[in-house]
Amino acid sequence: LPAIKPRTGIIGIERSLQEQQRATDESINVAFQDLKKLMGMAKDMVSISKTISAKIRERQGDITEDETVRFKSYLMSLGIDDPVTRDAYKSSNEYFKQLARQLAEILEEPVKEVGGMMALTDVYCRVNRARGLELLSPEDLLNACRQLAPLSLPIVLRIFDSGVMVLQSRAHSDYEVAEAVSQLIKDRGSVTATELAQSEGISVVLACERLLMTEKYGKACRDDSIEALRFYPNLFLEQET
Amino acid sequence: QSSKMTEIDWPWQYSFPPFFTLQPHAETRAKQIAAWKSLVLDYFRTTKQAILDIREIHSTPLFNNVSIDRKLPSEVVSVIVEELAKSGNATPLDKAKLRWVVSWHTLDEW
Repeated sequence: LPAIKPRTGIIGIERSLQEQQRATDESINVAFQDLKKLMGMAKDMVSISKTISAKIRERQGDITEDETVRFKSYLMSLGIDDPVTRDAYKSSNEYFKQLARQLAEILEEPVKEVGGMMALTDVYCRVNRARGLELLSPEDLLNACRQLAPLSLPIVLRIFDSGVMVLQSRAHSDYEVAEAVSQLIKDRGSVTATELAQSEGISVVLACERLLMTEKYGKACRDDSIEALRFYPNLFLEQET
Repeated sequence: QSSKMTEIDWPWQYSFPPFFTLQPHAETRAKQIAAWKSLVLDYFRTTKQAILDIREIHSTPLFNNVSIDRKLPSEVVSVIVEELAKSGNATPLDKAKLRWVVSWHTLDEW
């Protein structure tokens, strides 16, 4: 027979509630204690890795490539970000290189499909949505993208003057894009970034960059008013009084 | 005023909206400023004016094209007057460089 707890009215209920509360308190305490221990360990690892990186700095060339690579992967697995000292010894981690190769493989076609250029935020979205598990952090993605060019892969990272970062295919030509955009501006009389985005089926950010690039080539000029920033054919250079 | 306006032979740039935004592209900007310089001189000669006050620029049709609803920002007007000063066509009247004498002939030419 299951033991029946004696119930002594309201007092009994209160007591069992208190009991429950004590139990949760305890498990929370235990959890935090474990966390503290874990953090203590990590702290040791951090200080050790700092000493090692200081040692590497002192002795510069004495350490083989392999050792720095291994050291870097230790740092990576700890989640310590120490790029300044790390970057001095190795362009980036092996992990990033592999990731870059993978990115090039899965993104080459999609980048072509959207017209040779994809904003990094869109890349982040696509890659992580496709992965499902083992997601990439924004930093990992960026670091991997930085490796695309040195590895001479078919897509490269590009940073516009505005700070917008995109992946573009190696075959992409700014000049050709500027030509195409300036033709479109001529056909329409003038365009804004939003209008260009709609007609080309690209994002507004990229449309804006295309217009600025066309302007940089001297093939467009701007009209900045309260209505919008519009781009016109560059009559200043094309039309002689 | 209206009789003055008809006398002026507005260049094509005057009805081109980008004329009223300072262009970032260096070569384009050079052309734009050159066009503004000759327009300002032409306007002052035709209307027989000599004083340009930066605070009152938008009351003249020169820097305010009502038909296309564009005004030249006062910073850009300052840039143009500075350019005119370089070629000897303008002289500031005060230290804040708000009032200028515009002469359609340079002193050398006189």
